[in-house]
Amino acid sequence: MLKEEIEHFLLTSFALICAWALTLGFVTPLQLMLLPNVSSSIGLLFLPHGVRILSFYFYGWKAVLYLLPANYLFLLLAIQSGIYLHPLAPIVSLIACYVGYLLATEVINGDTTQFNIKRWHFFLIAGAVSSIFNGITLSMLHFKDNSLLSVLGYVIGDVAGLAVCFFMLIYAFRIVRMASSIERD
Amino acid sequence: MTSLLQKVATLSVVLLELEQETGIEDIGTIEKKVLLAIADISSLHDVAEIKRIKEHPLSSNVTQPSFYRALNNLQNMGKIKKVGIKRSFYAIIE
Repeated sequence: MLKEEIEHFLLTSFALICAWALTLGFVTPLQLMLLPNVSSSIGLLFLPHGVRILSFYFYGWKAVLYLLPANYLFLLLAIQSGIYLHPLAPIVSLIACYVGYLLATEVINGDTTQFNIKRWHFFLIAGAVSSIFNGITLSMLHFKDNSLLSVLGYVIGDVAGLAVCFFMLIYAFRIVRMASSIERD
Repeated sequence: MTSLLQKVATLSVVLLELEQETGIEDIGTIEKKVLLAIADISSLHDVAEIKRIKEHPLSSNVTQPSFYRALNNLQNMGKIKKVGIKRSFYAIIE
């Protein structure tokens, strides 16, 4: 049981570290270069949101605990690299995201046929709802208000990050399939 | 464990749906050969006759059942369509 928990923790942390590293090392500098007027606290392509949503889907509320240490690690790294983030941002953001995800899941109740939507639409809806909650709380933390513009910035970044995460997964699965077919041949 | 397996299965379906909807689905090797054969024949003739597709170097080594299955799959994927009065002509859907 404990071994399983550790495995889940390591897996989610690894995925989150990869997503954060890509975001901080590539996406954020690119955003600062191309869109210098947008606050660096708002990532317009925030890949860790994809990891968050998938972790909630797989591990439920426990994902909040699994993701917290890696989130704090990157909070420190972000502060080091000159991006201001509130010290409570990781925990508040994770809880807000989970509440939003839970709400979307409760409404749709996992029954996507009832709403005549495809399952990947459900993930996008859950990701967006979760992001709205996240956006409101982070805007209040970072900008002391929840102006529509900053919330919108978070939602765009999170949903775009989630979509890109899914495409990355598609290609990762494809590479695995290709590698295994080469092995078989 | 079953629950985790079900979730992995759901995730696979989600990714597959996404691939299909965005048109980047990973088509099978035989489907790829048949599709390329049709594309090649269509570049010379307007449409590809089934006899020519079967004889095309890319798909000539595909067994009969696999060949027809691939044709069906490609039609279901919306990659090719039957054209003309005769049923044995196919064209690539642009």
